[in-house]
Amino acid sequence: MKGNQEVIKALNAGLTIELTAINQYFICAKMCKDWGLNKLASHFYEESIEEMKHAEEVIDRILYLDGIPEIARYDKILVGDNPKQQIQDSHTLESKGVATYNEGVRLCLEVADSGSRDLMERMVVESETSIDWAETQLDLIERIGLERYLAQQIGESKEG
Amino acid sequence: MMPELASPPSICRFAVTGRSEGYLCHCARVTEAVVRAVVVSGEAAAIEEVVEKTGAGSGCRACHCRIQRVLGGLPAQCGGRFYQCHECGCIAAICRCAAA
Repeated sequence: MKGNQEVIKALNAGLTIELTAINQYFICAKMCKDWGLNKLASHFYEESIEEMKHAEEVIDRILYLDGIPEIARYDKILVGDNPKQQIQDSHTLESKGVATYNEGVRLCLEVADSGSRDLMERMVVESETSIDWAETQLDLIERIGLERYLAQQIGESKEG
Repeated sequence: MMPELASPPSICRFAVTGRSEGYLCHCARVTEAVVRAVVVSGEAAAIEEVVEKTGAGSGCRACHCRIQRVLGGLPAQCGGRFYQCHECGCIAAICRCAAA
């Protein structure tokens, strides 16, 4: 189906964030595992997989609208060299995702593309959940201290 | 001990990483200036020739519309609220960079 070109651009802007997030969360997961922070590593790993599923949905929608997915366009991948920075970077990326998808939702309402609007609204909610997680972690670090927080993140080692 | 990182001061709340190259083709990492040079010099007058001369457009093809605009004497980006700022990666609608 021939879709609205601006909606395709909006979806591609969202796709850029999803592709960036896949990589950003993945390297965070591997670094946390290397530091022995297995619980935090598992969280970042699961986030990375989630972002891949989001990217799949966005790509499917762009193709349905007869657009071309911008699969090689990335935002800067923020690789924090400590866990707190990694959580802050996650917050930054997800906030950008919310703002981008909200703008897309606004456009979809203007051009009456309910399918794309539904998808982007779901992405907003998913990103807000991730923002909430990041804010909770940063609040915990503030309240109990970084060392106690990190002690809670050691968890059990998994293969991978 | 892992050092704390401080975000550099910026205008846009998402501008934490500095300026990127602003590629026209992200697959081959070719800038608009490179594509424009072969068009202006007359070395390329069609997308296929731009691909051959610069490598731009040889990957996912998403940039072919931008190459076509350069061939038509226009800026590669057509602007609008979903144009991505090179400073912060934000779409224009939410970007607060001075450069946007």
